[in-house]
Amino acid sequence: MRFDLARVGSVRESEEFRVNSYRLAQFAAALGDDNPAQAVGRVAPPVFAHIPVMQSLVEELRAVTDGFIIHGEHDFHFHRPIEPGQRLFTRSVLQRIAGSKAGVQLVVRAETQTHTGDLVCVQYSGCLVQGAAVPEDRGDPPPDRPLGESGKALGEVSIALPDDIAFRYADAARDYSPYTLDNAAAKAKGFPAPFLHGMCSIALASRAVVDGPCGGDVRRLRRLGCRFSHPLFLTGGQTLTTRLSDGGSQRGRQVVRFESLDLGKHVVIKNGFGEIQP
Amino acid sequence: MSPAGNSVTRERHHVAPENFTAVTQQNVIEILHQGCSSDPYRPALIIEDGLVITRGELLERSQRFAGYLARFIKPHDRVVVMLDNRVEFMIALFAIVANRGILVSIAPTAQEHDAGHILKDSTPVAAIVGKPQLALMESLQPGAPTLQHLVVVDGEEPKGLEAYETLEPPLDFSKSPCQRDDVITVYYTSGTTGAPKGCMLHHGWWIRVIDVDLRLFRRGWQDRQLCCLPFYYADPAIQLITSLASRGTMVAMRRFSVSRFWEVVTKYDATEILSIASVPALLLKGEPSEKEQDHRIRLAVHAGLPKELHAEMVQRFGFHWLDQYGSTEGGIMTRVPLHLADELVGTGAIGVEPPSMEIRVGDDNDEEVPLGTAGEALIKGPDIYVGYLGRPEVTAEANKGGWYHSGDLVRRDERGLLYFVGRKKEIIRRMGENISSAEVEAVLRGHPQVVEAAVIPVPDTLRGEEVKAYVQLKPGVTMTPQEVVDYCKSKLAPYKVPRYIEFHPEDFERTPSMRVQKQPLRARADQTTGAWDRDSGTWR
Repeated sequence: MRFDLARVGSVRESEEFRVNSYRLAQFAAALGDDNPAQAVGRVAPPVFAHIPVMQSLVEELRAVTDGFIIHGEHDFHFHRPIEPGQRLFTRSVLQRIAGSKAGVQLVVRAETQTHTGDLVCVQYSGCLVQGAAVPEDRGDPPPDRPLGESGKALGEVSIALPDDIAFRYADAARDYSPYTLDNAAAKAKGFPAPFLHGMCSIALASRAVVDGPCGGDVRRLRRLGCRFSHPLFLTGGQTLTTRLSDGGSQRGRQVVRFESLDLGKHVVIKNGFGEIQP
Repeated sequence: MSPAGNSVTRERHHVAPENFTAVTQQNVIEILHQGCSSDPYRPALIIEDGLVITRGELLERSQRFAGYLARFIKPHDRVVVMLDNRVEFMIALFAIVANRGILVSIAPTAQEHDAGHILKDSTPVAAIVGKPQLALMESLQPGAPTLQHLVVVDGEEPKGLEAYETLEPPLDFSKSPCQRDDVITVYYTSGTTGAPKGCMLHHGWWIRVIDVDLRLFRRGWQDRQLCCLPFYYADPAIQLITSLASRGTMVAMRRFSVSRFWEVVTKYDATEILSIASVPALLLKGEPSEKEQDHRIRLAVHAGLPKELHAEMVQRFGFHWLDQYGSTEGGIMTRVPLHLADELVGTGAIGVEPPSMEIRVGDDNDEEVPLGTAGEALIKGPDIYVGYLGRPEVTAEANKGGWYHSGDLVRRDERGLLYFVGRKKEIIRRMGENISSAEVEAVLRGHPQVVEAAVIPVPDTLRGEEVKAYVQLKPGVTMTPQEVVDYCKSKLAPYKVPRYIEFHPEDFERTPSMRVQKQPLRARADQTTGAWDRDSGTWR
């Protein structure tokens, strides 16, 4: 398996991404998101920030390795909301390659700005190539996560997933990975069934954070992250249940912790957190 | 090297690095196969009424239909395709090409005269037509002895060829025997010396155009190109293949419509427009709407921008319109560099040559004229057209001295930027269509009551140019202008039918070689006064 350690620090620019209300509303609809501002495309659901980033992120990962990459962790830092009329430009940088017990970890930092230079979002994608090794670690680790003790429960939201959820998300995100859509393709990768895009899982889970602790105002959500701990297999009649709990406060912001479980009680999202501006 | 050459090189380097190649494949089928098999669930093509064909289905149907065509298509055989904007056009294209056959494109609106000419000229072995074109094709078949197979696209899209798709095992496109030099398409272009001639384009032409297009404007997963042109042009297939090569999707209109335009753009999330002719002028005449601002279009490329409208187009719709100069023979010959888009709004500049294309602004001896002087655009590039079908002498004349003679007059400024001046040939350019005055004249002369005819362009703010026919009748006979128009309609595609008719009571002035002298007709200040206008049905 190939790992190009020299790519650490290399920059990949994305094409311009223009934002309009229709595309935002389409994304919200794919998630069944009925938040009034998001459903009409006045503002983007938080995980939409991944859409303009996805291609440069994936291209950079493919330039680094030919191994099968699993998206393990994600950490969004929101600086301003994504709204119609913006023209977004993203720079993705391979920030780190490091060995671990599970395999080789890759971290890509992607920074999205408007065409006038206003920072919109910085996000860290943590990926894993299982069972692989590299001779040395390179680059800086991603920022620490606000993961203190979990406090009192703040509620639970359960979403019944339509059987075509992966197709809906594929259209909304333009991510048509065959193993999310097709039984045979999933089996060819060693999985028993197709499984939902990790970013769709966190997008669904984040509805509980926005509509709960954020009071429906996505602008208050300043950070969102999680670990994808288990594939969310699409076996029909699947559900996603997100449990919220109090995570204290950080830098004057309320921290909410969450985890999400599938119908079979597998924890598919672990160490979820949101930082909320008062 | 001339000063002009130096300047061009300087601007060109801003456009794209010479050593960057966007397309590594050697033929169109390779692009199709790789683009579709690696990403089978992504839509390849979305039609405005909601029909979606994924890349996987496009490949599968193309391979199955190709299996059927393999029964009777040998390498270099011609197959005419006469279809409206429907998915089966693209399936037919790939299936023909994968068999190393040649698609000969006929406008679905063509009539006996123009369609009949192409059938006779291209000697096809098969024709693929829609139901609306079937009766015409059947009536023409007896006059086209090589035409042995008639394939009818029928039924619900994209299954219009399904009846044929199961008759033979599919052709495996991963084992395509295509060669880069194979001619794969023939498009009939207007000529000055009579009937339209078939311009032969090989894989190399297509690969170069697609490569250049992707080098000049990088596209990705989030990009969707809007096609509002008829599929029988080369441009829609270029858009589709460019999308396949860059993980994008093509969104196609059945036909251009101002009232549906922004609805289609927003509903199907188009990010780019390829536009011709009066599209911008018509869009500007449309009622302002929220959708024309709330879209994701980041660029329009247009051939022959109306410079007086350019600033308003950019301001009103919120994206750049880059002028491009292209032709069937030369492909993409110039485009305004993206980084100069702001600066060149409204200047009429058509840009500079892309990498690997060379234009000389030549005088009558093909020598380069001084900067700022108008001359003919002479084209040189590694993968321009192959030639005109069955007309080696016409090809040799057009390519004399190793340059393709475009017949277009351009001038170059001190920075190397080119400007379109006019057309050297007698071509009428109406709504992006090239209309041969000679072809329309030949039809008119074919009417039993007509002695002579002269067809000229009339400038028109909406359509660029309109067709005007001067008609000389036989002595003692009468004919109404509507009868002239009706006769043309029965023989020609609607866009070629003259809008203005004027009767010429006596013989035309003629050259020593007895050709009609059109210069005195063109020199008239007002071409419409005194003519009958078929749009209004009145004399003007």
